[in-house]
Amino acid sequence: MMVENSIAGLARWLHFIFGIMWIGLLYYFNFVQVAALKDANADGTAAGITKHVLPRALWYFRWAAVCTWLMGAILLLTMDNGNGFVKAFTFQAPFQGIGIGAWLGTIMLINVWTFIWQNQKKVIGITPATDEEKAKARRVAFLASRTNTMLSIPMLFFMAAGFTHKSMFGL
Amino acid sequence: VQPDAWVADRGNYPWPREGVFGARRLLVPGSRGATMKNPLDSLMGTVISGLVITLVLYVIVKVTEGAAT
Repeated sequence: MMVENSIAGLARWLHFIFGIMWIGLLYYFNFVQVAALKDANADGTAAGITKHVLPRALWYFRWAAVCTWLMGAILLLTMDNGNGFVKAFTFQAPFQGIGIGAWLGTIMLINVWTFIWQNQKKVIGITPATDEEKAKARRVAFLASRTNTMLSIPMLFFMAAGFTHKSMFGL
Repeated sequence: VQPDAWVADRGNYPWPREGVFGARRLLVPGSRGATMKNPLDSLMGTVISGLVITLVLYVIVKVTEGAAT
């Protein structure tokens, strides 16, 4: 029991750390970088961002997403005698709220590795692409990133379901 | 109006047209060329969409919880 609690505590702690890195970078991309790149493109300084900042930020972004999901999965596995993971993903009581959060997080993780990363590879030149393909990839990556920003709002609401949510929202 | 004339004159009809990058955009009936904007193109639209989805999912969870008990 003590080992299980220690694993759960460690997983929860790391889930928060990696989650803050993932969603923090997601918000950086959407709230800061999109507007900054627009201005930087206008005065010819965009290369500094796309060459030096973006690849590093994307590396931490996509791996933080994986680590966040894994730590969340471990945390769920330590709950309800090992049934928490299945109960959350199948919306069984009392895991309906966290189940919604878990599914949203999973969709966001898939979004990161498929739509965002695969298209950003074309934008930053890892995958060869024509100018037209780059423009299309930039648009798809932008919309996928915005979709994740949108989904992060309900995801964090349901992930944060705890004592306060119990009293305020009955979750 | 004959079908051929529809094609020739389709710019005046609120039918789906080719948008940026070949994506089809839905025209608002009666708006004569005005296209529906994607809420994800603005930060405000993104945040509002997220809040709406939160509310919808919250109601779904509460309803299913109520039905289960």
